Amino acid sequence: MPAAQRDSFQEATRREVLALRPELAAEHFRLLDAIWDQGDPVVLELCRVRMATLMGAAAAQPERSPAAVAAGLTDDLVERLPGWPTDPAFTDTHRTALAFTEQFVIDHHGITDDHVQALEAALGAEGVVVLTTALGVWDNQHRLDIALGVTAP
Amino acid sequence: MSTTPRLPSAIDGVPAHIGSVLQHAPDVRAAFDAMYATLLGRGTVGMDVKEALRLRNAAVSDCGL
Repeated sequence: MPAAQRDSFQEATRREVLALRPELAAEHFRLLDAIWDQGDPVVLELCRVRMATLMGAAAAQPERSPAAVAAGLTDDLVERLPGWPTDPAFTDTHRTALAFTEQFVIDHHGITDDHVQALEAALGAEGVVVLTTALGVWDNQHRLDIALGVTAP
Repeated sequence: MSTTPRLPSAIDGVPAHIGSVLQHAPDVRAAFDAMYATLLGRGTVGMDVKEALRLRNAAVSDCGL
């Protein structure tokens, strides 16, 4: 049942909730498209899933970016995410981006010059802007899911 | 909290600030600006409420901007 016809948002999908404000939903999805078009999809997806896990965003964890899967992301790598600091399956670029992501989630004031310099060395300045914008958008999306009881994308 | 930008400006001759730094990813920046304009400028929630929430969010997040 569309969210607009429910008594509450509970058990609505994210798309049903966002559809209550179609103009804003369209801009939101255009922003996500721009992020996925500009960034490394595997790096982005690893960071998105890690953020969702740390924030307890259950609806977002099973989602998979088609772009990331097409670029080679496997379920095995996603399942190994908790061990990223030492697991050899992760590249230095993955580790740099995941370290930045975790610091962003846990305490954004704890992000240092070293974090940003390492990320710029790995992804370039464009990649830093894309990832940081993506983290902001996903942070908002995860909080929306949790606050409104969204159960599926 | 850093008081100076941690990335260089993407625009020659323009100092590093939020606008010139975000210009490293112009398509993302443009999409964000369009979304934000729609979020703030339209809808049923009044601008006074949105601005109060924005300021409260900035205070809680300790955002100096």
